[in-house]
Amino acid sequence: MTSISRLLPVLILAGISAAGAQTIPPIPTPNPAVSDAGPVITLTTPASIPGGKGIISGTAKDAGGSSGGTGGTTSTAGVKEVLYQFEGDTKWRKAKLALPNKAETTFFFDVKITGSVGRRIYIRGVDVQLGEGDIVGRRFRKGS
Amino acid sequence: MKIPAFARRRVAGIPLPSILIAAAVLIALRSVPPSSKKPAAPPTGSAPQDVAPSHVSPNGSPPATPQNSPQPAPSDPKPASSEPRRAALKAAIQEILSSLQGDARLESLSPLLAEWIQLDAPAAASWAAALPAGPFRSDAVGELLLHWAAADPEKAAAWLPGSGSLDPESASTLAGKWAISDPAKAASWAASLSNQADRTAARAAIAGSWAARDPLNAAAWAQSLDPSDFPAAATAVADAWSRSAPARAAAWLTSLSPEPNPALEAAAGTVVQHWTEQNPGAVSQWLNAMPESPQKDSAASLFALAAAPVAPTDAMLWASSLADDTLRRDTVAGVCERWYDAAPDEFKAQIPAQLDLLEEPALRHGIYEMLYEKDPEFRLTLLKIADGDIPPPGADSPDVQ
Repeated sequence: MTSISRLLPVLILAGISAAGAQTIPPIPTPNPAVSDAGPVITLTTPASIPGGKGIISGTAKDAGGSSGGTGGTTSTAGVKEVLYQFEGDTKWRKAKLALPNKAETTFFFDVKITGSVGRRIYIRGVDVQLGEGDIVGRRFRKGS
Repeated sequence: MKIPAFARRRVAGIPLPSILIAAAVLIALRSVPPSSKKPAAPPTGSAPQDVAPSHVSPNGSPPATPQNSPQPAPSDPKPASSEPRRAALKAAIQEILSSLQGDARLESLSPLLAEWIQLDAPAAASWAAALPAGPFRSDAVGELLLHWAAADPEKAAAWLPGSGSLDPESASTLAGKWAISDPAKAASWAASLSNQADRTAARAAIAGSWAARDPLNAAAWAQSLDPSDFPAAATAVADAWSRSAPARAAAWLTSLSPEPNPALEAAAGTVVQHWTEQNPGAVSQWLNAMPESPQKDSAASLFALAAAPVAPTDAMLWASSLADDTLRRDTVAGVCERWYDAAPDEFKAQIPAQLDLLEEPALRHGIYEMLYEKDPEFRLTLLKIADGDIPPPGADSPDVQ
């Protein structure tokens, strides 16, 4: 019979696994008629924000996608919107786009980070064909 | 991770692993002072160990606290006398993992990780790196790196690339913290990173930390970087610099590229945002001096949004003059929303006079949409004013600008 002391490390790992699991915020279902990977988000703001108050910026780049129709296949690239969400919230907020509907644009949004460990923020892009890009998450902390 | 069948068993609705972990924690905590039993409390001074809490000293004697015992260097061999402290710290961490979630969990873990780093940094790092991949591991590694980089950044930097935890987030956290004390060494480490995204994030963090203390040298260093890393580093410099001296940051950006540069769009945007908070008039002059371009439109749009609560009529003027249709429509709606939120009575008194600027139906539509949510009664009034059915308020008096 296996002793509990031999099982304990395995069980602890299982417990840590369960404790460490976090739910990624849900995203809307993309338009199935469109084959599109969605915009790629790249953050330019460092993980530490002086004083906790600042601007998070980055780029959203859309490679375009193809959609079938009676007139044949078309391909259009353009970032429609960039959305962000604080971990634990349910609401996705709209970031400000420098060049809306263009294939590549800078995005901005204001944040006020409080608390000793900051906040994790999730960011995603939606293109003009409603294709969803991958969600990028990063914890931003209040820096000195 | 696949959990074995026995680990999925439940007793009275509670997962078996949780029961066993709780039991192990309780056994471990019996040998340490009661204060360590609160998850959010500071650590008892006990350090973790690499094995289960069965190594707790059986005599139950309270461990020494950090305040009254010398702290070994992170690389020192583990003294045998610290074993009970390790066990109690490990138990406290396990308890936090099983009982808390989200930021509360991380806040409780942070002081424990700080102590663990002091006592046995490699073990703490191994623990964090072995967590299941996901947001929590990123959080734990980030907290660990913040503490480690403050105590011994070179060892932290040596560990990170081979740990499996290197990504833009961890690279940014470590490099930014390290650059506070030694930007040159942090820059040298960042240059050694092979992955482009990691290197860019590390360099941006260094630029930001450095510029907060020495903007001129940070700016010179950012300019020396390769084109792939330069925009993010320049944005970080501009962000940090414009908090204290926005006009100088703006002048630096202009000197980098007299013509609008798409790669510096984010940098210009951050300067505009910070500068507008301090001196919107100066930003307006700076924008006026810029040649027409999409980048000028982008900066003007950000200016309009930032200025809306404090200088709404100027903001409306800039917003309605943007060249790009979508940007113009979005910015006018955004300015009106911020204006309304900041001063609804002033907005209602003055927006009718602004309708002349908004001849395009799309621009007016954006305002009506905003009001549909916030003030449907005034929306109807504004529609009647726009149609000439009723006169605007104060129609016989001069417009207030």
